[in-house]
Amino acid sequence: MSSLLGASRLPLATRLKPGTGTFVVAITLVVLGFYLLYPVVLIFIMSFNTARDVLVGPAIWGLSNWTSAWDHPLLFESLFNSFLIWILVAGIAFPFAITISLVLARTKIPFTHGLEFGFWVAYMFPGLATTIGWMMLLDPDVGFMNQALEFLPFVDKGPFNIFSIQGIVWVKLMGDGIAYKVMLFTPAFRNMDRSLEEAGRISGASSVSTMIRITLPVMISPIILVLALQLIRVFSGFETEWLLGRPFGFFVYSTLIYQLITRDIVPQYGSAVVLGSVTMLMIAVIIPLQRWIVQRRNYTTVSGTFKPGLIELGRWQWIAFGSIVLFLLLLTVVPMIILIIGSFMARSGFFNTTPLWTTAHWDFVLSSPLFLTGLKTTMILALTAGIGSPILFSLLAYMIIRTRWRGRFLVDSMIWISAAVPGILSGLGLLLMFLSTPGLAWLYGSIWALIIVVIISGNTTGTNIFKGVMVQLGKDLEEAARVSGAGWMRTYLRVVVPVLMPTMILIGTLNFVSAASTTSSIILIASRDTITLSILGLQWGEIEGGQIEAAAIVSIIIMGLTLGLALIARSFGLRIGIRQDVRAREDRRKRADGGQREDAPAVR
Amino acid sequence: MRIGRLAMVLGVLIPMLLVVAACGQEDPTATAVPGAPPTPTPDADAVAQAEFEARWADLITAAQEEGEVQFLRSITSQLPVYKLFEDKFGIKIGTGTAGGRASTDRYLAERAAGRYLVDVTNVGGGSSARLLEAGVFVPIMPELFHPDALDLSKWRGNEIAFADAESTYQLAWSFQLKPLADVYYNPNTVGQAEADGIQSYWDLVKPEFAGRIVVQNPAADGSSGNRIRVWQTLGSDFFDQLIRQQQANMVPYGDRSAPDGIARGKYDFAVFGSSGDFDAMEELGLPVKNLTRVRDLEGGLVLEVGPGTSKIGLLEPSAHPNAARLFLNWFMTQEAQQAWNSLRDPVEQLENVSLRLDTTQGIVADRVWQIINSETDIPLQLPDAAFYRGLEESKAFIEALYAELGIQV
Repeated sequence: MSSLLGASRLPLATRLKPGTGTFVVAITLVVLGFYLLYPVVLIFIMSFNTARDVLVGPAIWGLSNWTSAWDHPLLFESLFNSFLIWILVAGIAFPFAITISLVLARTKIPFTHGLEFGFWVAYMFPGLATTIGWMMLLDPDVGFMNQALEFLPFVDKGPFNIFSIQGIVWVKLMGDGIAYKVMLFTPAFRNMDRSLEEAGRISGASSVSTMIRITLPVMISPIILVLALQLIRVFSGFETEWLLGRPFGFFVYSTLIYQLITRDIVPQYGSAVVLGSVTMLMIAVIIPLQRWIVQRRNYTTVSGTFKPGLIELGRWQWIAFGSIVLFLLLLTVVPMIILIIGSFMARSGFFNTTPLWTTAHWDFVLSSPLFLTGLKTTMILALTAGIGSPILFSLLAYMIIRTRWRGRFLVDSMIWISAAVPGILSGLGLLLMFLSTPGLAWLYGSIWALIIVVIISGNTTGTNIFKGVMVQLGKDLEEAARVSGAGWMRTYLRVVVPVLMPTMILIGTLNFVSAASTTSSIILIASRDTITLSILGLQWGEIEGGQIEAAAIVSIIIMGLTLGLALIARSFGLRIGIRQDVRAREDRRKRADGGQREDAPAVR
Repeated sequence: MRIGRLAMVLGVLIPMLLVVAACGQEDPTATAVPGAPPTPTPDADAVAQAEFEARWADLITAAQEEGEVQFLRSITSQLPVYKLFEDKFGIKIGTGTAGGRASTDRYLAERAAGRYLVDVTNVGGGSSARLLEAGVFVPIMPELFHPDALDLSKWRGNEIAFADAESTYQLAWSFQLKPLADVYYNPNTVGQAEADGIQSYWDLVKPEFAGRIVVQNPAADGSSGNRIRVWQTLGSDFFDQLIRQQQANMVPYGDRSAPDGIARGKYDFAVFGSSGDFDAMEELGLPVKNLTRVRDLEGGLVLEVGPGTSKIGLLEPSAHPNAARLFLNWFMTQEAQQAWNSLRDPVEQLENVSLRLDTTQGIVADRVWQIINSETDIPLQLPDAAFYRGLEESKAFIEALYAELGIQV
């Protein structure tokens, strides 16, 4: 009736009556917005307090932080350096990652899921451990590789120098630069409808041309999302740049902010927040850009006529397989070996100590009175985040992409804005939030505060990855279920979730690792009874005498926990997701039997 | 007749006087006459002791009811000493999870929100200065009442040392024998004759050592002890020559590239290093030697009172005031100070010694123990007003030098 009348002729009360959707959006904005935006607002307000110590009253309100922060002599140089690193890393990583993801998701190379899991393992390596490992290998004076090459008669001095821009780019690529993208692209590429590619081949295009002109344009949404997320990561991460850049005077934006907080007795939080607002400017550009890209065309690949299938590579499949395996060894086995060896060395990197090998570091960690407390808290936080975060983020993504509820783009903007604050400042914002909010004060010092923080952390990445997959879902899938009588919940659980399952496992694993490894966001709200392994590792690393070996052992333990749970979760999740390889096996069986190929999708 | 009367009067008076005198004296042979018992004269020491014991018992009871005392930061090497307190009184000691700066941030934010969750501070000079400026401490001497702690004859110099410029808010319980700055070198790249030729710190700024020295940032908070010792003894010229003229390789304080670089021969000398890291390498047989441990450079030793985090203060308001006062009073007794010398994790520097005279060596290094217990003219460096002023001035000078030379560290 309303459609016949036209909206403009409906009674005002009817037009203005908030529907359920608007109500849900409003609740989401209030609840989630509080946890995501309130810390940012508190930090932002702090930037206008020009008192010598912003944490000691009375506040002195003014603009001097805003006017003086931009006078920092290294400001523009560090900004330039950050963009330089981003461009170099993205420029190299994207073609590699897209190629690898396409091969893993769309071709018939053997052990494709195992290889994909290998990239998950590569991502799980803490950035600090990867950096230290490559430093030991490529140090210009004593790196193992350089020393080995110097044995050659025609080599005077080893050619590698990790303390260079090339070194920083290399370590970031070997760390999460490529692995991160492969992790995020592969599930999206798996959802590609083969009929689109078949149409291209039938029209005479080669496999490569088909990939470039059909596959990649359809995948542009997740590609742009990952590009934007990578830019934000460049501005928030700093360990690699700090360790490798400082020796040759190379500073990036995040290390500049870190200096403002740690250099003086009284941290310059006001100025640090001002400089951190640059990330906000980037997000102000990213939000409309990604929204424009998502809305400008249809990216549906999974619909009622979805046709999974894998591409035959012929003799190239073993070359592709071998190349990916070698690359994975470089990403995983090399740093893992270095990490484990280092944990048993009296002084990592030195082979001339007495004794050379020792279990003292492991004894120190495992016999620490706080180790079991740290392990227990870490497991609680990581499991909670691993299970709770994918559920929350998938629902948020669904709300943003799949509904027409008013205000949903405010939710989307809020999620992006929450990533505006670098991790080293967000911890302070969270502390202020828990202290200053009457209803939350009782949580302060308890594990519940940490649980809330870790579940919500990573919302920008998680929600946007889900968005990238949601745009691939055809509406006909849900409509068919609803027409058959299924309610929203049943439709979501029986139709949407199976398609999302690989992504849910992925985001769950990402958040598990993040929750187990995080320090900056929880160190100011954790207590001795809720200490985590990662905070313990940080404490040990700060002890004079540098218990970096103990910190490395914490990384190994966290990785072990993550690997075990990720294996279980993947095995469970893959059973109920879209299985291109199942379809491929069915095809092979039927060809072997001489039967006709069925067209029904392999979705269960 | 007159003589007769006089005799009669005298005859009466004299016996009367004699009787009166006799009544005033005890008759040792006389039998005691039962009556009211004699009142004893009070003993002042016994009274004071009784008052202390009553007050101490009340404090213990009140502290045990509170159940815990919260320290500002975590110092894992001191946990064995804390455990002694926990076992003795059944009161749990809580510590922060972060270092001094982050813990101080957290405490000040809690305080601004009206939450007073920390009772005792145990932070270094930089964070102490920040807390003093914020006015969070109570005057500490009125809180100290344990006779063993207040017995000045038990403390070196017959006084209890303070660790703040106003000598009011923080106590220092230990001191540390320190060279102005540790100097480490690689014995494989530096010949013995060359090492022996370094007799004073000024020798390090000679041209032959240019470009061969690595320096961990002396302007960093963690390096404040090194910095102030050099500043007050050698002055700004030394920093200027070392950094500018000698083109020292500057790295962050605590950075492993300095000790690693010495061990690998990348650098020949290291100054202003965090000694624990270098010492650990020497113990592992790596080519790292402490020049200032084998030989005292000219004019280059001080006894630093209240080094590093060896400062204690009580916060107000606090959640567990009685437990905090109990800890303070117990910690300044012989029992706790002996534990300080004996029970700390050996990772802690072995030159940090209790200021009490009635403690034994424990894990303190032999050389240090020998020196501090002998007649010595090594100056005491007290954390007084000049000390804190010097900290600020030296930091500002060095950072201005960095800015002038374009050094980023």
